[in-house]
Amino acid sequence: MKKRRRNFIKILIFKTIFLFSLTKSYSDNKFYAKKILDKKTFKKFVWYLDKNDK
Amino acid sequence: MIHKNIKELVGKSFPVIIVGSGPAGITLALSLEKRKIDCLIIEAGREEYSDESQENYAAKIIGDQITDLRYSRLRQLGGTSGHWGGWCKPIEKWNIKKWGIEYDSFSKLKEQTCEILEIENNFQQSKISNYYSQIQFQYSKVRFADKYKNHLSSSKYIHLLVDAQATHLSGENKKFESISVSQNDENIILKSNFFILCAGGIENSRILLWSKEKDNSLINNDLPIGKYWITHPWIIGGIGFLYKSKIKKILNENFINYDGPMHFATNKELVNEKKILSGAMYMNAKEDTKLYKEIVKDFLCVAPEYGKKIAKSIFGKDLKCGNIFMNLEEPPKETNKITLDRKIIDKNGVPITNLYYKKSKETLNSAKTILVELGKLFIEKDIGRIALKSEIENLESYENLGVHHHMGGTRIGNNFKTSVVDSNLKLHDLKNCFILGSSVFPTGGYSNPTFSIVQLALRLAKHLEPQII
Repeated sequence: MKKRRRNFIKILIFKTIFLFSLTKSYSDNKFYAKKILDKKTFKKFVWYLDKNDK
Repeated sequence: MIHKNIKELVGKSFPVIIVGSGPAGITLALSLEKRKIDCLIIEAGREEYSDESQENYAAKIIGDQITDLRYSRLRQLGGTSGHWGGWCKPIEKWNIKKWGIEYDSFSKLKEQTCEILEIENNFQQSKISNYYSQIQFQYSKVRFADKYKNHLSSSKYIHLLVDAQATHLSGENKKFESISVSQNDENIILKSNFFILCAGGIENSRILLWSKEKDNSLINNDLPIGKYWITHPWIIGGIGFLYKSKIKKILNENFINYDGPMHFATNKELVNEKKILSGAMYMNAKEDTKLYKEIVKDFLCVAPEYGKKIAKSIFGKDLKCGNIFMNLEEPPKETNKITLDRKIIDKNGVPITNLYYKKSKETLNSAKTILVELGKLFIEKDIGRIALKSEIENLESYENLGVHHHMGGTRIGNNFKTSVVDSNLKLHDLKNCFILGSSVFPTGGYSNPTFSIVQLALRLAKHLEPQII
């Protein structure tokens, strides 16, 4: 019984770590997708712009 | 008292001999004077600037070229404080941690340092985001020669010998006993109980290297003397514009409003998370209205609608526009080093300096990351927009506008193979030699070095006084 409970806790911890790592990369992607930088090169300079900068 | 002829000092000895009369040497001598401790300062240059004296600073730079060492430092009373920029800021706590010295022993000397440099003890730092802060520098107008010359000439305890070059140290049993001094083909030997080298970020290493060549048995062979030399690459990373009012809105009462350009710096969170080196930035174009217009014109081509908005506010004081100047940290590398030339010697017979220097990829990478993250912040908070120089965006190279800060070569540490002095600035394995100045910096951070040099001088005086009295 004790062994089962320990195994269950172990799996729970690993799953949580796994899910957290996914969430982090997902949120990074989301950030870039939302705030994304539109880069425009002009006269040897690369401008970092918002996609809505017209 | 000021001595101009070495003959006046023949046969004399002093409790303390200090080599170099820059901010480090003078601050230390003044602190010792307060405890009525006699000392002699040996200055290689004259009381005033002279081209002839500067020529003795000729050196070979091998690798990436940097500012000629005859022009980036001054060989005269007061040292390089005779032409320094005056920008002052204490080094951050998280950077001091890397030095292995107690932060409190350093930070408690801030007020005293500000008095010497005649600046306000106000170095506000306001977080704009997790990654960046607005930072505050103070501007010092102190020239050590102008400020202290009269005092030095009338002092009972401080003896100043000018126009005389300290060439090398000699001694035995892990102790230096004397220093050789040359002036116009005449040489004398002066004895002392304590020797403090305060000759700057190049000469401290050179004197030690030459002393080692003269007597190989005295200085530990493991010590990396001259190695891990660093500077602050000063570059233009790009161009941009920002609205001052938007930064004010983010920072509210923490906004730092003072004359001069607005300075930003990386927080330790950015440095740690992105694994980069630190840096400080400021945007400046006030003196160049043509550049101001050029940037707005360029932006009109990149984003016409937004550009029109900018163009309308060009005459307002709210819009800041210009080059993005960056002061960057460099990684200490064993291969960036000071050695002695094998063929050319100066007029006193000491080999000239060879400085091996290569720009680092880490610095370039850091410059890009700092700018990219700043660009994102500007977009996210709608502060303004920036553009990176394409060679930085493509990680090709960066151009040094000038290299004036010479650091490293006799760095602090515990390990004999990676450091030269201990946390009290004592030369490893020798009883009575201390090194003072930017040459002991193990890392450079982004802050200008003079403030930290004066702090170190006050700290060393406190350490030395009980040993001398």
